[in-house]
Amino acid sequence: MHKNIILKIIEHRIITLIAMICIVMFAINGSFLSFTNIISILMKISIEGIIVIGMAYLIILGEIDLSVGEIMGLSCFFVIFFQQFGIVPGVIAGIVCGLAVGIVNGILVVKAKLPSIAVTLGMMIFLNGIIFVLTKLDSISGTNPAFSKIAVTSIAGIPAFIFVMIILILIFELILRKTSYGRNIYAVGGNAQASKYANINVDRIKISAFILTGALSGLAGVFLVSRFNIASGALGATTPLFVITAVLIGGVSLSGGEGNVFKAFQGLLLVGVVENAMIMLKLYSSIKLIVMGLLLILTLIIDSIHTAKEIYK
Amino acid sequence: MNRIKKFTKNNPQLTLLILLIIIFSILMPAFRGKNNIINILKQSTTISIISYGVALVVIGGNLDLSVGALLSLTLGLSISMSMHNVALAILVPLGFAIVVGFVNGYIVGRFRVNSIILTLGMMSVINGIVQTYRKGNIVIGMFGGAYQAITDAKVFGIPSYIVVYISIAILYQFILTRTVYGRQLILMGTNRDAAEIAGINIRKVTIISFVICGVSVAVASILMGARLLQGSTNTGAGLEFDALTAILIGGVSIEGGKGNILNAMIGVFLLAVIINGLTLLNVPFAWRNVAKGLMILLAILTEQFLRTRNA
Repeated sequence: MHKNIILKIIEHRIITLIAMICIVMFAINGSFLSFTNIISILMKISIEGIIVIGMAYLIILGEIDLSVGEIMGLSCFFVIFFQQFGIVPGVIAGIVCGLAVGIVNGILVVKAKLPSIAVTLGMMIFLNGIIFVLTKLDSISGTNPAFSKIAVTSIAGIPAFIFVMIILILIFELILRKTSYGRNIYAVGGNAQASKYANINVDRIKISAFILTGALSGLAGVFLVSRFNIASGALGATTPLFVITAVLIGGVSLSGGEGNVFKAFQGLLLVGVVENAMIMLKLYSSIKLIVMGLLLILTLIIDSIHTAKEIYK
Repeated sequence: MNRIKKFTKNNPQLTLLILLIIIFSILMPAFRGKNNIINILKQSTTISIISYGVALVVIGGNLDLSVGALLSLTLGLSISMSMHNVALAILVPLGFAIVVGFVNGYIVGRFRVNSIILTLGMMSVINGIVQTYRKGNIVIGMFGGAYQAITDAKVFGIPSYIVVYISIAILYQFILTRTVYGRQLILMGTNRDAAEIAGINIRKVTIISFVICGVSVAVASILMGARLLQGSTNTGAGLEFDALTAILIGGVSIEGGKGNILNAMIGVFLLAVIINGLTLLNVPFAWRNVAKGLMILLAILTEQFLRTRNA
């Protein structure tokens, strides 16, 4: 009986950890669990939350994308440029720009058979340069006041962004669980060679995941512009660190074939709660960098021990 | 003619470098000036030394992205220690760099984690430490002291820092090609499992490569600190990508096991000549990262192309 409870806790360790932090923070400062603060945590992670979906797909496939932050930054520029023609052109421009970069990433990785980590690293630096060129090393902002209204739209006191994030997470979790496409993703991530023999179109699945990640990063840029009305080359620098940390903490293994979108979101939630707690405890933002880095390193070590156990079982 | 063909086929990067130098010299009189050449050599000191260290790690099949952050840390330490004692200004940064290199190497060697992601985390940790203890302030060193003399020294009329980075290149090349350790590193980069079965102590080889990389960063930061006497909390930001760009376009393979320090050296000069040429051609500063990103992508594409053609 006790053993079962312990096993359950280990299985749901992220949720347990989040609950523990919430309880401690609630004891220190009662406003931590207030409606406003919970909304502010969710709002804070809603931008990265969208990218996390794509990144989870990629990591389950055994690939990675380091260029997500810069795709978001580039999307911000296009959103700001096209919003003068209206809200819809702005939103479409952001998503299409991310989609285009995702196609290039995917083709380079799949067709040229290059390691995704190297391709997306090069893409990250390249896009960063493009943003600097487009914004002339400055930060720019849009002129369409209607665009900022998206961010403040809320339903029953809950901002629309949070709804969009939750709906997207549900949809993509369902696709992963219930469709053959989703099952193929696990198969390819577990063993790409075997999947090829099983007549799965590995190339197409991998490219689709890169395109999905690109498009979602583009959508994140739409959210970012709507909230902060800014585009600059400095926006996406820490985004890949944040997103990858969240996905790995959630228990999606870097070796592929394991994890799901819910787990990745739990990781993101943990990172968001820790970040919020640190702000409430008035810790410097530089301490945040240390904690984020240490969290990532620890997760990597735990992930590796876990994988080793699976192999030698 | 046949020999030239063979040379270009075997050394595509060196050929490109020579071609670029010839083209730029013809196009731009300013490029072939003595001052500009010395300038290129001077400016590539930091990136050269760091690239040689990173090259060793990459040849071993790993990657260190924490070098830029580490440089910001050791640069600040070196300059602030130089206020007390020159020996401390050299030893303290070296000590910190060895610790960071050891931690990176230990975690990669012991737990087999992905070194890119690990050092991304380490980069965040070190950046956080630098920003916390310096609170965003710039460190400024003392003018005209013994510390500054490190760079003013000349050996046979050549500035000391150029001597240092060339001797480091020779030393690392010797380690890589003439010692048992170097062979073990190359084998580990080519096929880690095979190296392990062959009885190579993976943990030790990995740790040493990361420690050498850390030491390189510390040496670079001491020379930089003595020359500039000034360091901000983000002096090193982006250096890791510059070093990576340099070694990849020089012909070191990101998959490990292929390339040597000479490749890294050629890569550094290729990058320096291209950036210098862009500056002389009045291309705006903003285009720099575009060029670097394209060069990385082109470098890995050509390498893959050559490999599949040869195979």
